Amino acid sequence: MPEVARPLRVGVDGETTSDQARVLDELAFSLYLNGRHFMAAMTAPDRLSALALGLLLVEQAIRAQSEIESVQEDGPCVRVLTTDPFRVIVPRRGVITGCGGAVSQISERRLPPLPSIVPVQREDVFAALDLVAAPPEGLFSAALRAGDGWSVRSDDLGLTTAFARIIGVRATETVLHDRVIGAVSHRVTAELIRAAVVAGVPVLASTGPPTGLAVEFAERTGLTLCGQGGRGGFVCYTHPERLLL
Amino acid sequence: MKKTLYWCPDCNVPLIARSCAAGHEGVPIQLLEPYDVRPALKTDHDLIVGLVHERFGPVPVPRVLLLNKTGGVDRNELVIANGDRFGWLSFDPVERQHRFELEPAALPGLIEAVTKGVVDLDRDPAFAGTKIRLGGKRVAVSSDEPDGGVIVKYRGRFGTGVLADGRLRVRELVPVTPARCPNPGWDVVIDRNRLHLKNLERQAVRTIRTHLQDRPCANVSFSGGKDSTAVLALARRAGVTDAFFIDTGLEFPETIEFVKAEGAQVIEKGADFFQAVERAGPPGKDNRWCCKLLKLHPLKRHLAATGPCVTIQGNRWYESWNRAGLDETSQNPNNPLQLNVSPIRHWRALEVWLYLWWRELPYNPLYEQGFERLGCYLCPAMLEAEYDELRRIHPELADRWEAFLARYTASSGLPEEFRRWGLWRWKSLPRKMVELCRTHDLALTPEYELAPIRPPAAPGPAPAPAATPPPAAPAEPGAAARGDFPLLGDTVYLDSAATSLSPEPVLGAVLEFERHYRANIGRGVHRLSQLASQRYWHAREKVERFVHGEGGTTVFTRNTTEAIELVAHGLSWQPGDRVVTTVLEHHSNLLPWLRLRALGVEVVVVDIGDDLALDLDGLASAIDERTRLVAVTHASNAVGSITPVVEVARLCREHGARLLVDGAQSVPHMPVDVTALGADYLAFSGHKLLGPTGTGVLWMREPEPEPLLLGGGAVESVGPDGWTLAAGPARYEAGTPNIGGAIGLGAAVDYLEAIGMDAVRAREERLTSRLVKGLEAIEGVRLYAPEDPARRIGVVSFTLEGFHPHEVAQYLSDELNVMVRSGHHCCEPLMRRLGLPDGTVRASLHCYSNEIDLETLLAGVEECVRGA
Ligand SMILES: [Zn+2]
Repeated sequence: MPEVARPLRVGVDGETTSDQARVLDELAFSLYLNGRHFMAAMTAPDRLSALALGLLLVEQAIRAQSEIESVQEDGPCVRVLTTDPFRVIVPRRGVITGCGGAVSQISERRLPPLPSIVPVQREDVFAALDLVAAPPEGLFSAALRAGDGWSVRSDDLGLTTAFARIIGVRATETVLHDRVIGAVSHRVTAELIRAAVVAGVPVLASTGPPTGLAVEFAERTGLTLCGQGGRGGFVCYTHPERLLL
Repeated sequence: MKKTLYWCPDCNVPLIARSCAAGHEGVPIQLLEPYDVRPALKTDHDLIVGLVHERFGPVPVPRVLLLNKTGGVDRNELVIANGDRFGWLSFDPVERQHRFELEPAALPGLIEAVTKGVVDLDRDPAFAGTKIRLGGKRVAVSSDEPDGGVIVKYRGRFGTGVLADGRLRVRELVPVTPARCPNPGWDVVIDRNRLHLKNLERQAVRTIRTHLQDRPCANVSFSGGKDSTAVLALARRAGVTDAFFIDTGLEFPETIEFVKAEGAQVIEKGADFFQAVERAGPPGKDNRWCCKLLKLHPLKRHLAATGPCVTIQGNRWYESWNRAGLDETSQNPNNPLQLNVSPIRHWRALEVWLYLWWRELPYNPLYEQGFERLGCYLCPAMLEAEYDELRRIHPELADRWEAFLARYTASSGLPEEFRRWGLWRWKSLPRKMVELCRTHDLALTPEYELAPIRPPAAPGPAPAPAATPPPAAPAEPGAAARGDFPLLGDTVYLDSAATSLSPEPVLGAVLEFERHYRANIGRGVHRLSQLASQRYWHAREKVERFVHGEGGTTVFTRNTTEAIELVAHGLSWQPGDRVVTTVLEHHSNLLPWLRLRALGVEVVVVDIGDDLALDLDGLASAIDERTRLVAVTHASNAVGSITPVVEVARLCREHGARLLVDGAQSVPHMPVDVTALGADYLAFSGHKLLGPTGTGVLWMREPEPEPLLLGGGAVESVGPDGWTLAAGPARYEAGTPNIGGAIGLGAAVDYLEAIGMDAVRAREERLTSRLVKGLEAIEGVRLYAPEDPARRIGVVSFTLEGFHPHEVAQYLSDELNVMVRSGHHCCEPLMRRLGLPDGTVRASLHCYSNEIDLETLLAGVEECVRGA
């Protein structure tokens, strides 16, 4: 609790107390790549090195963890050196703000192809959704669950950082976990579809409904997108051929 | 020396003595210096026939052609046929092609068959006619024959000449009567010479037998060439069985194969030419550093193993000027062990070939491919004509050399001709080459070296060896790749206990820092500072992990000495405190403690046992409740004994004393785990760990000591009345540290971890045993090394009776390029304790040392003993 704050709880009947006040942790995270400022993000103070790695992968600044020489955590900063720190890295970001005003172009040309279709069990989608079914109050959850049962979850102030963090965790795993299903609380946006495709996550499910742009993009990139999911069922919006029903 | 060749006019064959076995008498033919005459083998014969036919049409060329090589810009040989001069075969290193010019004496045998290449002066419109003799003159002609050697016809006479740019130089004009000579093959030549050959063989075998007992054993020095093939056969007839071959690493694969088939022992190369040439530059005929390195040193190693011996060799008078005076026996000037016997010293190449053919001995197949002399394929003594032959047969060998030459030429700013014309073969060019250069307007220095035409380029790093991969030897567990260490090309480096060598990745890391991101570390936000800071931080992480020191504090220092001094200075001592150390210590782990006596601290120095190991009982009784600190070395830099640190740590714990371990000699050579050791402080040096000089490390379980220095970088904040020290290792590193050095040290740790410290240790243990055994076998050597291989590191101290250690070290350095340490090794108390006022000679290994290094050292020590 910051010292400047004097939280006051106001009840339905107007009574006030000063106890039971929660705050969420938030950190101004800075990522440096080869000595250059790469990006800043507001995030929960959690597994910053993994977050950094995940962001670099999702932003396509690096292709694999093996390109990294060292990752130095320095307070809210994470500094990453690649093995070839003097190579010029051109961001390969696929979201292009169109000149027509709309976010008209999400270029899938620069995206790596998704792993060829390996069917996943319906039950695996439910298990992945279970991981994000109940995010802590005020936070978003993102999780990955692999065919071998391995899983990772992150709760964060936003889905972008939560999802990047679990991508980073997966990249540092020594075992390759495949047939991965991604699951997020709330909703899937086109931005998340892009991240999932870059990270080689072929199935993405959410507890809430996806955006229309997300559905459009998932259709074009070949990603299996599910939404409105829970134990009672889910909606498969695109590419149901990957699901064993 | 024979300056003539005999020829049987009846059989039309050359004779090696006056008489012909068919009962005829030979007539003499004058030869040219150096009077070595030899048969034209297939490739040369084909070459001559081709050149003659190209010029004059399908004229008959005798089957038996002899070549008499002589001086010239490059290859230049008199061709002898039908008992007379036939022509001249030469190679133009500029145009890179062979030329052939006929001698008038060849005309009677072929004039009838000539279809072209004739300049008929009687019919030449441009020829004005002359009254004087034409021989030796140059006249204008209008012949449309191509430039080159031609036949000249004039007033019923014939001659030969050279046509160039519309002018004809006439050699000589003579009356020519067509003649038909018999055209025997080499089988006839052998037959007509068989009695002489039998005689030569008998003499040579007798010579060998005469000297067999001059030394305890005998062997043949076998090069794979024709001369030593003949000598090997003769020596085997005389009863000598052993033959050895020195592999310089620049041998033709055909030669190695042939040598093995002949049953000679192959002596492995020591130095590496391609590594050495990067530092020494190309060898020259007048600068043959390569022979000493590639032949003499391996020979010393071999002879140290065989002991005194008679070596039968195939050297001949006719090969070169410096062999012209060779006696039947000669003492090898470079090696007192070897008495050389030269049984065929008076044979010419012709005798050698006829002998090989007569006895039907197999010989190196390269001769049939056009090589005249074999040996290293890059020998500066080789002709450019032969080099072109190498290029044709083994382009992969030529490519590697040319890649070096191209780089060398460019970086020295020399003109391209330096490599294209083979001018690299001389340091100072001989007259004929000076003339060639002048003709082509190439500038020379006053020393007759080719002058640079551009300023030399900045020395860049050698290109990635991947471009021209040397034949990769299978990696031996625990061994570094010798090619990674530039100095090892020509140096036997056995002083790693003082300073190790740095491999290319370490040099590269330091250079990359200097070239691409040199900046200060710490608070700088600019990109270079960030890069430098992160690499510096990462180096510390690597070093800490290397000694399993996670959780402790790892401080970069200049060296072990500074690391120990940091502890000695930084702890708050009280009068009555006690420090226990040992007589094994390096001065750096002794003097900082002795100085504490001035503060009232009691310093106890524990002795060693007869086994050169620490006296543990003595140590146990020296540690009492007042003992604040025990300072011991993990391994002795002078005698190599390993201290049982785990035991010492237990004693320390029992008495609540801190333990400082001097790991300068252990961390670079064996797996070290500070937690398992139980040390509170571990000090070691980067420069013994394949890292840069000026780097050292102090690891601390707890950061108790006060910093040695205060200043920038060491503080968190500074106020008007004081300061707050920075957290972590930074508080001990005031001022700008050795950033590039630390980064290099990180690379060194990576390098060693890739090899694996367990493997490094196992291999060094084995090599050390080999060295100890070798030294024990030498009379007059006294060793100071623990007996148990598990209780010693690769540091071996010894003395040599009758020699001051410095004399031995000086000799090894001067004569064999072997670097060892001599003296007290910064361990005077230990040397006094061992009764060694002059100290010892110390050889110390690292992961790049190998058996050949040790054998070279042993050979040198044996030489010392014999020279005494
Ligand atoms: Zn005859």
